[in-house]
Amino acid sequence: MFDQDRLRADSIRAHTQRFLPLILALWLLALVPAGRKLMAFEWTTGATGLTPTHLTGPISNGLSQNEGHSALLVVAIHPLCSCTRATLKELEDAAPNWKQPYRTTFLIYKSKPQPDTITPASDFDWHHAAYIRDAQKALNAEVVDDLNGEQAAKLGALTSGEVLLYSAPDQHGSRHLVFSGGVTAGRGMEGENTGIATLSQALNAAFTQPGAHAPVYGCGLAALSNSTPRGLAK
Amino acid sequence: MPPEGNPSTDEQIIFQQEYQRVCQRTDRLIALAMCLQWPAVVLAAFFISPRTWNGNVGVLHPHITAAIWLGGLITVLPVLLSYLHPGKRSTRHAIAACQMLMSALIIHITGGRIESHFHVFGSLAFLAFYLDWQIIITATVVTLLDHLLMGLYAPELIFGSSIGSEWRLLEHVLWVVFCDAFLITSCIQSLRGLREAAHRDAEQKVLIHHAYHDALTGMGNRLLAHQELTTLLETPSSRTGFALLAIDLDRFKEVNDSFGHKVGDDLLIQVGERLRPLIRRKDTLVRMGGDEFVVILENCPDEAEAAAIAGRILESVNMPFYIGSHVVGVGASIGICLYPTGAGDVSELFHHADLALYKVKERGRNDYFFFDEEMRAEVMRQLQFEDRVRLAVHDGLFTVHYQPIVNSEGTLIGFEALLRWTDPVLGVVPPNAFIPVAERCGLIVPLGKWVLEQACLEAAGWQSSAGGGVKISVNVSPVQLTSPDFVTIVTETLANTGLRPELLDLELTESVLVEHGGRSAEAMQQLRALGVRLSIDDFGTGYSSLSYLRDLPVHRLKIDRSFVRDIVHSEAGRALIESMIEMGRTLKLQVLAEGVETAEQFEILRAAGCDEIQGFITSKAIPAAQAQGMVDHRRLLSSGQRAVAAKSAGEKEVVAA
Repeated sequence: MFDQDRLRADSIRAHTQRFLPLILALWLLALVPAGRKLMAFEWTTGATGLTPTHLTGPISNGLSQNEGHSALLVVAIHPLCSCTRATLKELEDAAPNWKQPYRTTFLIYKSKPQPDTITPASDFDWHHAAYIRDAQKALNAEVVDDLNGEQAAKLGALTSGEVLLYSAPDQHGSRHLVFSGGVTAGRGMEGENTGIATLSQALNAAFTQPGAHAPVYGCGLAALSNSTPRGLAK
Repeated sequence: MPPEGNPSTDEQIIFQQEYQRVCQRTDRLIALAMCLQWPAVVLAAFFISPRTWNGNVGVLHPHITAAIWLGGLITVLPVLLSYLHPGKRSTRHAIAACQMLMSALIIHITGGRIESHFHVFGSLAFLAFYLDWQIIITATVVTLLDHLLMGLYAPELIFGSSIGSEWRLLEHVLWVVFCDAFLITSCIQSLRGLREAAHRDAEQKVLIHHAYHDALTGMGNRLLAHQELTTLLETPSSRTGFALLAIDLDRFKEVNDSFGHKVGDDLLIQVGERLRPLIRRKDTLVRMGGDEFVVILENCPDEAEAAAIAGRILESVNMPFYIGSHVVGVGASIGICLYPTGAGDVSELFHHADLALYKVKERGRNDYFFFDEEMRAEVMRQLQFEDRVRLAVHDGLFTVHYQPIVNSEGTLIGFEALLRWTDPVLGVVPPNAFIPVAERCGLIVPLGKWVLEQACLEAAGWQSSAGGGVKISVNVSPVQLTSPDFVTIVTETLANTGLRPELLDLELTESVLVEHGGRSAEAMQQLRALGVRLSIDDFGTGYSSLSYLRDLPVHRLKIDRSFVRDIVHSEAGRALIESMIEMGRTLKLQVLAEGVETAEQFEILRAAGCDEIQGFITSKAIPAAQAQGMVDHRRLLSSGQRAVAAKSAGEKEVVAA
């Protein structure tokens, strides 16, 4: 009985061995798209909306830091996005080196309860998240709950981790966009990258070329903010 | 038969087999480990970041999907290869590459966390189980390629940060090289240990081979036969039966003695080569020693198959052997014992096969014979009889009787000492029944010594009482004569008893002179030098070669009783015995006729010139006390006595030894 089973197993093995080259070829073929899928997530940039080049009245409503005479740094983040930590860490690390005065506002995404859905209202409290708390302290930031990311959307920030730097107000009280985009090299990746370098340069130099942009990597903020739990956009 | 084996080749083979086992085991081990790593990677991805968000909608994090699919892909190949191509070099290199890809995957999906890098070192340590430094190199190359490519193009994915990535890359490479140095050294050391173990195993294999095989023929030896038989006896499937063939080459000794040991050895080798193709692959052929071979036929339930093979063996061995310039012809005697009918254990199997072989030899050799129950009964009788003989020797139940020898005038000139045994159970046992048993059991030497001492002691007494003394004839068996200290025993006996050497006559058979030529001749020369007389007993019944009469120092011929029996009525018989007497006289030898029972026979022999007479005409063998009386009278056979003696000669007695 045992011998028969063993013979059958050997027969199956011998039969399968003939297909080994084909299996190897298929394996290699499958490896490429799987690897690309992994890397695609890391390097696919998030959506970017139309960021106003000048920060004027209605757009700036809700940004109390706008009142001052310093540059304004707006950071849109999704508290549950794993990439948020990297963005804040980059800013926290870079901030001590910035020479220009600035004010910071964190727009923290918060979902608004919807009567026709079962999605619960977010009860996220940023005070409980150490990495936000540390960043807030480092940047002396004002933290604003951004319901459904509406405020960020008004500023064209559709992806968590998007950073907007507006210059100090000119004599007309208008701020112009100095930098927009992400400050990480990939999703959740800390380390040197062009985004943080450009931002740092803008906050260190007396004059900066306006409208600098860097790709932003992170979770969506506003694009699907009105979606149902089944993921269908209204 | 297993090959004798070359230690270096065996070492290589054992090493390869052992290494193959190590590799196959490690293939399975790492494949299993990867099967466990796969879900572990998925879990790690889940715990690090279960979801990504689009506003308030969370979806499964792509890292988890990647861990499932990419991890599965990386796992499936080693599992497949370890099943389809276990132990192959390509398999282990592929497995090593996949294991390191798994490490890379873990590093990527954990965002290059430093902890995840330990997986690389763990993987390298795992791969060191292969004891193959090349595997470590392959694994290192895969890791370094991954780190270099990713380190250059996306250092964040490797280090979690691109800060100082070049130095971190160098640091990583150095750590891997450092780890490699240890692991490669460990592999080489372990491999050396494996090779040393293989060397020891190979040497042990050679020793075991030598222990179980015959150095001359390369066949198995007695130990192997015992082992095979023991295995067969313990195997339930062998209950169907097997056969043991004990083969003895006929005339091998003559070949060895005539052509030398080299030819004898070559003959044994050729016999082995001839026998091997005659048996099946599963059967066993061994050389037990000398010219004895044994064949074990597995799955041989009846006599027909064993008989067929035995017949083929006989036919093959009977063909002439061409050894150098010699053409040698030998035969074979085969004793066959079948299991389970013939015996119950190994020693019994051998014993019964030997008994059957003995039967074959007894029946004229060059044949085969099966052991059967009748033979077993005979063996039991023989064993019991042997026990009685042993007991008789131990308890001193033997006595020596003396049969007178007279000259042609009827005057007593001596006695022949004859051994007698009256057993309390068996009664009077004739010498031709117990002497062969005593020879076979090795009792003949002490028994013969005792007879010699007794006879010499008595004869010494007669010597003193009768002035001139009488001769005493003592039979000597071939075993006694060829024993190394026989001459010493005779010398000491003569010295101890005080018998003059010329009064001692040792009777030897013709077969002793022929079969034990050199050694016997030397002993005879020494005895002759002592002054002891030597006689040829049973002359005319043994070998026809008469050259020994010329070459050996004998004094007397004793014509066998079979020649005397019909001399009265047969012209031819009379002519034959006259010729024998004439020949003895020509060679200046004394001639004695045995078995003389009638006056007519006496007269014919005396007329023919026979010097001495022995037989019932004078007296049957008598105890020592009666012999003393005869010595006192000396002249035994007057004319009247001869007639009386002739009438009383009806009582027959076998006198032989």
